[in-house]
Amino acid sequence: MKIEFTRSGGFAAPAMKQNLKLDTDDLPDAEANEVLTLVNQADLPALSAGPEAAPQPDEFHYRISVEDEGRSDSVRTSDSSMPETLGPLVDWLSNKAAQ
Amino acid sequence: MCKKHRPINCIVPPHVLEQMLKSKDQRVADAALRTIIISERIRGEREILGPVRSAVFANGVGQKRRSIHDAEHQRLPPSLLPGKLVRTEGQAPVTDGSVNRAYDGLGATYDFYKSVLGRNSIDDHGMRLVATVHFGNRFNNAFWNGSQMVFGDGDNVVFKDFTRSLDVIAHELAHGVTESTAGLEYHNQSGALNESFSDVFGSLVKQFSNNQDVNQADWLIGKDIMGPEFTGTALRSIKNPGSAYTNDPNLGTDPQPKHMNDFVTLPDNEDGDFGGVHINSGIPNHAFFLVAKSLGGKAWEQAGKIWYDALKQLFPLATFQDCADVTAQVASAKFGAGSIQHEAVLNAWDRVGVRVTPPQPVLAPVERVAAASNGSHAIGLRERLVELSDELRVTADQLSLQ
Repeated sequence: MKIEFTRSGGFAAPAMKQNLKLDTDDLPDAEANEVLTLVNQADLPALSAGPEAAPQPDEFHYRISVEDEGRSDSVRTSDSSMPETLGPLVDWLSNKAAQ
Repeated sequence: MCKKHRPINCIVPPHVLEQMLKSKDQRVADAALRTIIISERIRGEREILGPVRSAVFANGVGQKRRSIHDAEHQRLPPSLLPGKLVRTEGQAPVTDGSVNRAYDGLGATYDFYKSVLGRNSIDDHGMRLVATVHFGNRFNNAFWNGSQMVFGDGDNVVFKDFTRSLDVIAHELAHGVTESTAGLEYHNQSGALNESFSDVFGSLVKQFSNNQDVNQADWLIGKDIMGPEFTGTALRSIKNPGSAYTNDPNLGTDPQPKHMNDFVTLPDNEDGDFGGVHINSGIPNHAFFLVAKSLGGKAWEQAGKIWYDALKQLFPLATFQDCADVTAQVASAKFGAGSIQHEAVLNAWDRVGVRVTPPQPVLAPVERVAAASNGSHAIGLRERLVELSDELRVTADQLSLQ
């Protein structure tokens, strides 16, 4: 599975930008399983709909795209509008990007 | 008609909830509050609070009311914010420093608006000040979510706990003030003005709290939250935008301009910081500093009051030009045309590359309409807006006297 992650915005914008591209095939098994589980829990296809909320001052904005076996899903979210199921995946990717 | 997915709205309409909230019977008021909270969770919409918000937060007597909540290092979804209540108004300090700093910071900010600007909290109607601390895990941010402040602990590399800085706390609260006054949209120049007003009032709250004059003040934003790896002085400098950090390993170089010649054009999307709202804010920030510096003394006494009155007259899509024109009009009306305050505002904007529009000759209403339809409609409309708001205020005053 290929995953692309972007974080932008924040109190310290534009300095806090994060970009991450990874392929779970290149990760150690434990890490790959971890992120695959989080992607599964996030249920991206169920989240892609819905109008985009107006940006709230200083919040982070996130974009996640996932590509697997010909299927691709992408979702945009922010700190003030993030669905509960997506939080753990966003935090995992943000921590990975910071490493 | 009762729609199935909005049961709460049908059973108890907002205006009834509003009355219930005001009930002297605590059980009735509590039930109404629970209904609102539950309905908000069901619908996942902030807007439910809109009509009843003033009832929830209203406090006619003008006392400060704070509540600090703890997210316990979880990224709480909107429906679970603000989280566990840990300290409310009048309660003694707790052992958690973040909670106490947020409590004190909200208090200092409330006191500034009340005693310097005569404003009763964020909405001028005694709105409760709500903050959540320990949001997320090593979360490197603080933000205003439209109804409360949210603070992260920082990763202790790039940033420390965001409650450590009074100017950061006051910056976030000022977003709430802007939202309930000018309503500056968070895009392009209006967004940069939104950011700038937050930096200006963020710094003024700190200066007022420390009783510093324009020369004693550091005019910095975020100095106290920068982590151990940071090599600069702060996140932003109002005194000298673009100078806060240079070649920092994590943050790079401070991108803020201080003159229109260096205005940064960026796309109006997340990647472009919505047209550089945190970047181009350096220009109006610097204009404010130049006004304050030229007037001397305590920056909140004259410059701060001019900026605050202007904020109340500005509008959602205001540009830097509008801000320059309105601050000049306010200074002229408050202190006299040609007064040192008026001249200070004109010169400051000139130095950052914005020329204040000269006042138009006073025309009778019919001539004004003719002039407006005659090509100068942009100026005519703006004048008309200011005039209308003046008229409304007079009417409001008259009404309250009757």
